[in-house]
Amino acid sequence: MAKNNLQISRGKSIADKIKYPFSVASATIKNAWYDLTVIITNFFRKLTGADKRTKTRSQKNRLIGESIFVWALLAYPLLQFCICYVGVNLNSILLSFKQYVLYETETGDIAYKWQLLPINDFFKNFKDFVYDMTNDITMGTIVSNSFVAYLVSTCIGLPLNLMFAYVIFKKVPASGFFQVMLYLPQMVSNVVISMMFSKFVGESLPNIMKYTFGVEMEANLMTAGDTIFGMNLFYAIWAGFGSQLILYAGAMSRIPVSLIEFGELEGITLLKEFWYVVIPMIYSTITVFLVTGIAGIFTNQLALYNFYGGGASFHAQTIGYHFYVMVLGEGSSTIMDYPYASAAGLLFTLIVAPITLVGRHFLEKYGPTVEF
Amino acid sequence: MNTKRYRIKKPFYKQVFPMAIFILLIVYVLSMLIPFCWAIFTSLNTHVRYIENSIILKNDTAWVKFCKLFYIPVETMLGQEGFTFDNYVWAWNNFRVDSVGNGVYTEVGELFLNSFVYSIVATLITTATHSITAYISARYSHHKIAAILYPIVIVTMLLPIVGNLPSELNMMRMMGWYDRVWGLWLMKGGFLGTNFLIFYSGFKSISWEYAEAAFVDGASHFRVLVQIMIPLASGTLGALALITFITYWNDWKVNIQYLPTTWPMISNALYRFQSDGGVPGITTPRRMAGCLIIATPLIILFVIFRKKLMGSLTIGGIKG
Repeated sequence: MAKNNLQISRGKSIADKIKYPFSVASATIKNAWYDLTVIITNFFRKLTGADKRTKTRSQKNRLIGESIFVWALLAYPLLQFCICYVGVNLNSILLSFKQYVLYETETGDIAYKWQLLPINDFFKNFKDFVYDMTNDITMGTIVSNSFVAYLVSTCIGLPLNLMFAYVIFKKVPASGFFQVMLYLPQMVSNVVISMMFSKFVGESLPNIMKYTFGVEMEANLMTAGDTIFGMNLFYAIWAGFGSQLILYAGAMSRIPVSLIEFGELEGITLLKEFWYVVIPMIYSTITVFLVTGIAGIFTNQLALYNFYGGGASFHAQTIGYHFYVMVLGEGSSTIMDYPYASAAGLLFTLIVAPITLVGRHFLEKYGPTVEF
Repeated sequence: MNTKRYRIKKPFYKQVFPMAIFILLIVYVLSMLIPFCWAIFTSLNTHVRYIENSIILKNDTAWVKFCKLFYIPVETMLGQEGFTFDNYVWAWNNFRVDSVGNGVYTEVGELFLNSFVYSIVATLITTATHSITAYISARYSHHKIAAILYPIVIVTMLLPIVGNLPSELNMMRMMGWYDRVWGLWLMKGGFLGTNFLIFYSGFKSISWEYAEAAFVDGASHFRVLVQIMIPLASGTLGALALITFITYWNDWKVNIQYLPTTWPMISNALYRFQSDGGVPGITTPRRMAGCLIIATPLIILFVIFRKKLMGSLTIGGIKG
């Protein structure tokens, strides 16, 4: 095969000049990749004696070679899966029946070790968690916050993502600029965005409200008990455009042009095009986020750790944040909370798994079926 | 006589729905631009001027009031003083981390290098694992082991395990991976998740006839993968690798969760700017300067690769 001799022209515009070094780097990487693949394949040909082979390989040998290829490539991913997914989750189940206890070593030192709970108190971690859920008044707020956060992200965030992706897909004026602005929060570290947001809202917004609209703001919206959760929800939507938007826009770009043109010739409005053509055509992509998002009820942390570290007011806390803060840290007191958090996680999984399966079933049964 | 009438589509600006979204989009963009512009102006202010700007006096002219409202350095706008870049110098010099707490700081150069090495290696491992497993699953599904990969991914997405962070940390401690960057690379280098589905969809859409032609010419499976399939999937590969790199680069929680004392990174150094006690002498203008130092290279990177990112990625469904 011929080597890729990629010719890169410098171009005349400023954008071309900026892109030039990247294009050169890209071409260099492609050429280097090609050279590397030739070296590797030649090495293996020599190693296996394939370059000296004159006879055609039998069907059986070909199948063996294919099996070796498949197993060689899958060895690491499967091992990683066994340890880091299966192992971690089995350990999570085990942890929920364990405790971290003090004991005296042979040398007389004091140390900690993991121990299974005694049989008469085997479900202690689960009982503790259920007790806290039913008796701790703050947990009620935390749970309701988690559900509200999920509903807001699904009922407001998802439609906004879809509509903005559609606007980009239709290439409205300045759609490139809109793309950059919409993806900006995802591109830039969320610490940067959250820091700008919190300082702007906390320090500048009161001034703007006072001198522009004559409204005196008594407290910082990011810390006041009445507004803290609302502001965090707003931030989650405001800074939440990104990967979903890219995937929706990508799915829309795959819709056959002839279908869109047919609709245009029939004179359908853009609302009808969006509702009757675009949504059904990208339905499979939407279901991915709808179905997998259900687990977000128990994992969504909003951006609470960005704004408040481990000390967010319970008015704003979600379940995801509550347990995240619980297990962070290095000391033994933090590690002691692992079994409790694992038990809670196991119970949440038992709740969310059937909801997810039922949700998926309904989405597939009653949603549009489109293949293209 | 044929009296067929052709209806003409209204332009988008004469339709309510797209105009409503368009206006919403403009409002959103303004809401994003205002804090950014505010951050830029604030970073060019001294702390004293920043405080002064928050007090609007009755005898201020309309122009001065406007400048003060948005923290625009009034003196600079009136031509009395220039912009100050001291905050950028200060922020650059204070991007340093004493992760062990023994007074030995990791300086800004090493922080950037750590971030770069961590992100590059993690991206290479993750992208390679996702793409290879997706390729095998999409094209070698007649092998039993390859056939179960796709259902595994779907099942893990449909049956999400909630709250396994304690177990993950516990396992990492047991295996000696905790607080080791290579341990984290191994832990993160799995094939589960939406990236697998994107690669799967990408490899499925590439015609297998290219591979068959190469096999007839005597190419091995490995050669077909590296010299035909990967170049054909380079658009998806590049876009996902870039997104993955940025995700790892921005992941400031890595140091808090997995690498508390070793391998400090720039994203974590920036996080320390957030709290008043995080870095001695921190002020809002200095914070904003630090934010902009970190944000600017990524914004430039995105503007350059925007077209390659958007439209390169499509995901299939989750039908198992």
